[in-house]
Amino acid sequence: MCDSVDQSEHPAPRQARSQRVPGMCIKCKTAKPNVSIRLSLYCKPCFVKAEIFKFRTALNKSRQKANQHGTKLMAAVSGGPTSMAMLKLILDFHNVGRQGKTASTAFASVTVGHVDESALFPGCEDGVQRILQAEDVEVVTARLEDVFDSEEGLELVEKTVTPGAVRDKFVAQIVRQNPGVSPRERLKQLFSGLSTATNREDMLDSIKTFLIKKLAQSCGCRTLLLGDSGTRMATKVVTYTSRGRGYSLPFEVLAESQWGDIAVLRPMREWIAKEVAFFNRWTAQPSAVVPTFTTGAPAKASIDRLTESFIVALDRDFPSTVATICRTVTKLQPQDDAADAVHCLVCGMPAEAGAQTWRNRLTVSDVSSTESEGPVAAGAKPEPEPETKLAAGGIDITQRLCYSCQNLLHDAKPGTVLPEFSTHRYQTSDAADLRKQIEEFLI
Amino acid sequence: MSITVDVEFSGGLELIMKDKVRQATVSLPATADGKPTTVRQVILYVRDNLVADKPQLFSTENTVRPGVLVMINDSDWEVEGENDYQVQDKDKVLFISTMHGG
Repeated sequence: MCDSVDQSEHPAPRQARSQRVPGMCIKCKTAKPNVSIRLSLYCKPCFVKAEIFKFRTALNKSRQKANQHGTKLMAAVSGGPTSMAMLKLILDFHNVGRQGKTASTAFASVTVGHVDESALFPGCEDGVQRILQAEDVEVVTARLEDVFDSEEGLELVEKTVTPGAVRDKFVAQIVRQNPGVSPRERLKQLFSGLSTATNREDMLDSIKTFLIKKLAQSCGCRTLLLGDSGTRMATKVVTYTSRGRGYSLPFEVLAESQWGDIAVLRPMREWIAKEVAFFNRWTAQPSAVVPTFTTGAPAKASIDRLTESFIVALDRDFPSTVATICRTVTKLQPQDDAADAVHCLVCGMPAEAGAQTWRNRLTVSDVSSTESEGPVAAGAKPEPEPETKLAAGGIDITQRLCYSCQNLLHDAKPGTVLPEFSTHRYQTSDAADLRKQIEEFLI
Repeated sequence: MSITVDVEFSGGLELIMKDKVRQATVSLPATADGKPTTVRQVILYVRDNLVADKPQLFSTENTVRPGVLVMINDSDWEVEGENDYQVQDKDKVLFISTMHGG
């Protein structure tokens, strides 16, 4: 199994491969090896060269190749090891032509997009800023609390979590924010209203995705590079699947995906965490420790944390675990209807219609409701509750949430105010709905 | 007779060490039970003497936990024989955590 991985990653004629010298570097065959990656041995210089080559191949494979010149690129950098390695590699690639005759760069520009998480993780930002300032690149930063800058907020007022499809609903209302409470405070309130570490991680992912996309848009960058390593991708695949994000998974983990008008590339996905660590060490690339909600916590603290422990432990004994998951994932395709699907108010990813029906088939409800409503609910699409039943100003947002974000809000405290992008998404989707309704009457 | 080994922590491991040390020099006997000292003894020494709390974040089952990489004199310990590598005087052992949530 491991051999087959090697073969495709380092394509070499059969003859050359058979000339492997036992105990020597697989590339130059003359030097004593310094590192073992998936049972292949490399010496230090060959390893660094091979990794650079792998990155460039991954980048060139992407469809952006054709219009590489003139592309404004944003690299999403947290300051952690993988994104810093990615930054180094992309800057080297960008500037490689500068010494040549034409003296042109590979892209129109490379900008770093960074999300400042110090509102939730105090003290982590200084180190990151110091490292980023040392790099010769323009850095644009968004703060997590920026998602609470607006005066309006979408407040969750009621959630009825009754087993049985038709009655399960989430009601929200648009509220004016108290100007006395700072955006930072509102952000903290949001996170303290989410009961579990898994939910907090989920919300943080959604906010960061929104902010980085917004940064790219505001800088006019149509291409966004995300620094997810293969190890991280494998963890994400399993985590997202268990959170119930299967429908939007292709948009979140593939080597290339399209987020609206922005092309998202993940050029580090062929690297495992070990390769990143050794590359950074041997090229003297500094990086920061980026904390998460579960840093230092036991393995069962969250789904994400548990999955990571599982994958990393499995990968130690079976070094092709990560590669196998990542290669399997490349076969994922978004469903046909995903292109026109409603975008979830919380995560912004396509939401599968009828998440309620789906839940009802999966979960055990109480006996009476199963008997009386179960069979009907399983077959029929749930009808939204009549608007008249809602309190004044209340909006039924159930149909606008994906399955996973419904799970998230199930555990949220009533009174939780969602970030402004939820209000914005609600308002724009409302306008789009209206347009659809009157479209046929327009000339 | 004893040997000294330079140990270094990175990738967040320094945060769980006493006084958050990044580097330390440890002294170990050159032999243990008549056999040369191996890197496993270095790991156990670090776990018992340098880790401030939560030793499970550094070591499980008498070796480093999965997700912690070890470099001996700037080389992967997997090419040096892992736990059974016989440490020499003045060796440099680096521990790197790759765990996102670790």
